[in-house]
Amino acid sequence: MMGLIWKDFLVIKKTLLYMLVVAILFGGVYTSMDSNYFLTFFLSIMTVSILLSTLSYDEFYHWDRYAATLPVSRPKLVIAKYLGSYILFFIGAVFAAWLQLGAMYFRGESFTVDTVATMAIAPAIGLIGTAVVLPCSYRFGVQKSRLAMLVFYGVPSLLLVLALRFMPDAFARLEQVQMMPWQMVVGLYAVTAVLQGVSMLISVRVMEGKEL
Amino acid sequence: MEYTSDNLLEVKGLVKNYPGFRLEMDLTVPRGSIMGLVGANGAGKSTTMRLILGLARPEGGTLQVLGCPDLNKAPALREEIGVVFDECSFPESLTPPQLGSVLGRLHPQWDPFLWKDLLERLELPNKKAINKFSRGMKMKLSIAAALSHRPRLLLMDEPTGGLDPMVRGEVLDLFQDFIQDEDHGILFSSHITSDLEKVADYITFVDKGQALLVEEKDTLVEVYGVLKGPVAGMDRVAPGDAIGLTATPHGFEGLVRDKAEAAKRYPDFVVDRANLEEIILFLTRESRERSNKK
Repeated sequence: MMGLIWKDFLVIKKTLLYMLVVAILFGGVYTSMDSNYFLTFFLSIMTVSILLSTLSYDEFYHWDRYAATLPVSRPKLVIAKYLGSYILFFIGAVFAAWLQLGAMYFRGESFTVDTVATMAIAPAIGLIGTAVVLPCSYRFGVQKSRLAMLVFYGVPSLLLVLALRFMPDAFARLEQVQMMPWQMVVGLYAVTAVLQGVSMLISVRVMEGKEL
Repeated sequence: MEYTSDNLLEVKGLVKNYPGFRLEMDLTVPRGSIMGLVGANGAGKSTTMRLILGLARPEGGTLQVLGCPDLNKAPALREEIGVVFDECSFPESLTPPQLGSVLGRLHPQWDPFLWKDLLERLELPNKKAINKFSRGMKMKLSIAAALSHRPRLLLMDEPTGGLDPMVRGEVLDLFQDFIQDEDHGILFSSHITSDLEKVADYITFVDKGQALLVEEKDTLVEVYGVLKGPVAGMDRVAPGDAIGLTATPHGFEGLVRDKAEAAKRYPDFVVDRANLEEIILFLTRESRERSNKK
């Protein structure tokens, strides 16, 4: 199984380097902006895109068909992809955290619990995205799963913009709800863990029944 | 557990249906032999390979690959099977050493020295990414990867398709080296009959999803013949004596199953030696005529 994860990292090695350069450039621009945690969310979405790239390469080279002839069970083929995505998110989150902290240092901002909470939310949102995208990719192919990703991130963003435009009062009331940031983060990760588990089960079932 | 049957692969009445296509296959690969699976494009060779490998689900029949009826239930057994598809399935941004580092983590029996030796023997560059390789180089790389985990059974779908004669020769040499071990076996599909004529011990001819002929290659080329004569004499050939009997601008010709017997029965006609390509051509013609009549 390690070989499968290693293969994905070799394949996306160059993409990761590009991401690093882009993130550093963004980091420079970002330092001069007000604190809005844009970078952490940007890196999270980038991580989902990179994961989709690995799936896209697999599809293009018919790697899944070849991998199914290796001494690795089909569930392990799927689990390896999920584990690889966790490693990617971890790398992305650590990198984003360094950039975030660097930017805050240059802006002279203080480091609070809110900072950690917000940085922790971004990978969770990304992981919820992959929970949707991965089963779609195994079932319908990478092209359609890109569409799923677009819907997953695009529709809530659009709804949020519309809600802000037409229901500003509702948001004002929402701000009055008192919740500790860490409670929100724990809750979000609990939901993410459940969704990842369900997603993995669906992907394994799809892969086991798939003709390659 | 050691597998002791005489056949490394046994396929009996294997059925798979697709819209407009039905596969019904019988096939064996005896220990220490090369079985050539020959047929036109779309005849069912790749489908047979996919069924054997567990990449598609059979709808009937039985299958024993190294004694196992379903490789998906025994993934560890796949270590004993080397697989080559008709196209390179490796990520092409990798170099051969990087590919070796991936496959070495996936195959418990991976032999890095053998991998290195094969890359050298096949003159595959170490520093180039696979996307810079020619089709022949990619195919050689796929074969080297299939051999480097020391399998007992090689399953290859059109491994020589699209290769130039030089590369084909090198690849066929590798197969012959592999089969020197009596415990090894190869199932090798191709529509290039000259390759099969060079290396195969047995031939299975497939057309429209059916195995129409299973025979030792030597028997085929020694016993089968082509009966030839003037068109005017074509009516004298008894029905069933010649396969794919047809008139040509130079006379008639048809395949006979026993050239010595045909020479006795038809002393006025010529009976030539048949090569594998001619045998396949006549069998295909007969099969097509039979299905047209239906």
